[in-house]
Amino acid sequence: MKHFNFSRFLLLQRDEVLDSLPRLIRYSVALMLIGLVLYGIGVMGASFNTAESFEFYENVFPSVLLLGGTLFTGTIFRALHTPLENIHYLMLPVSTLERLLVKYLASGPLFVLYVMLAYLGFEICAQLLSNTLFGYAAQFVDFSSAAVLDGITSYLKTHAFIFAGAIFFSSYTLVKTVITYLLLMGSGVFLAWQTLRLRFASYFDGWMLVPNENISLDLNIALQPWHFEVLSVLLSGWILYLAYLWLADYEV
Amino acid sequence: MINVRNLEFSYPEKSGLFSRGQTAIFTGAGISLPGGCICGLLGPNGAGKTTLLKLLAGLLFPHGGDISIKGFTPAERDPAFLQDVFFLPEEFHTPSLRARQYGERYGPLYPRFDQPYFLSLLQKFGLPADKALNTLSHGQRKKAMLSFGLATRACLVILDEPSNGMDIPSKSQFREVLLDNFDEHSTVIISTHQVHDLEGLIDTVSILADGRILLTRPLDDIADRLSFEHALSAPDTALFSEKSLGGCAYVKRNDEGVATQVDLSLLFGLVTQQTALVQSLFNDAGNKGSNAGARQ
Repeated sequence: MKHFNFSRFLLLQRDEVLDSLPRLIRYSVALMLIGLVLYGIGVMGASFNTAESFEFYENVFPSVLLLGGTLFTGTIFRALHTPLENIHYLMLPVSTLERLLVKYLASGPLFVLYVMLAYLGFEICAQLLSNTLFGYAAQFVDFSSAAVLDGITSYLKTHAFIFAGAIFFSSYTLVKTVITYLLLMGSGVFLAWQTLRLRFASYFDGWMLVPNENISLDLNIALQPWHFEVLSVLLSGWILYLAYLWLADYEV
Repeated sequence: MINVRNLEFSYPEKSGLFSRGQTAIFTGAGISLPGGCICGLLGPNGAGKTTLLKLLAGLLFPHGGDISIKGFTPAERDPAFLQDVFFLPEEFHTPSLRARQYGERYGPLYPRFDQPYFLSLLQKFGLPADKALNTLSHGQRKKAMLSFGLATRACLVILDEPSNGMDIPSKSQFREVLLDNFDEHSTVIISTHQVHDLEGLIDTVSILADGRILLTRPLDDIADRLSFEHALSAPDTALFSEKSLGGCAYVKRNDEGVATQVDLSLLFGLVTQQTALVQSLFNDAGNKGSNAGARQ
């Protein structure tokens, strides 16, 4: 098949993992060392049999995933924007779809899996150390808990946007992507606000969209949570399609 | 094998945040090369040699015209096309892998890649297979990458200034390895402004100057029509001459029908200074596929 060959895709995915892993491990070890110190301070300062302290460690995982994942995704196309390295990258005999999928998986689902394994590794080390030194430790984080699952879905939703920005912007990728994201969000809110003001001018008092209590607005809109889920999936798909086009059109 | 027609390409002129127009590199240029040739692409700095090579490799996209290589359009970056092309730029990136690992890592992406052959080429160049590529000198890295390129058995090998950074023995090795391993179905394009590095290596020459492809011809064809000689002074029939040790070297029409060895330096001087004359000389005898683009 012209655009997708599974064995070629696997070879490229293997190369991507082998290229990324040493860098990821270096950063993870540095983070783990900092984490162990903080863990130790936490153990000395509080007991871990309370629900509050357990929740704290459960919430650390989504933060690590979101922050680390955003930083990692922001640099996933570094080879594409580095002079000379981009020639090597673009001359590899693989299709644009394979290039895109490999990077998407590496910075998306595979990165989530990596963070889960690294976090588990950290917890095992921290528990062993804490039990040895203090005789007690925090519970393991439950990866099926709502906080963790919400963190993973939030990361995967924002991932497509950061991923596309990593292709589009050749320098200060993350900063420019975040600014663009904020501008787009701001524009969307502004557009919605202006639309509401124009369409339902008599319903609102003043420019702050304060509803006029004397007027009844018969809006028959009942959005369900799954509507937003579908919308976010469609939006991610559209952004990934744009990313594909940008990658296919990239010149050195 | 390679057909470029009416090629148009320009770079944007940037000033601060805004683009201020375009610098035309090619406007309606064309070149045709058959399979099984080693073509030397000659030209001064800034003539558009590297740009042409990048266009052929699909790293830049033409703004007009067609580029067809074995039926593929390079800009589409079809994996089947990329498997058949090896491009070695003048300056290039090598990952922090050992040469052997590099072959094991990237070789499988090329269906005809031959790892033992790669290792044997490294040995011919006297390069260690188990030393990290990024710790080697520029010339050594270039030889390692050339070995990899030849081991991919690509149909089109594009080399940009390959002899830059190579010492004298390395240049001989490079010439020897390239000639020994040249496949008659392949095309090799070597871009350089050091014409003497190409002597005895190429069988076709293409000359670019000021963004134009002035001439593309097999050396045999050139030797049939032009005679390259040395004398104490240039005769009146000389089309172009250069001072050399103990006299001068000159080029004239080959009226006697005796083929001489093509002096690339003289040919380059003649073509760049008397373009119209040379083109009429070759066009009279039937143009077999060279076209010239006009920079506007």
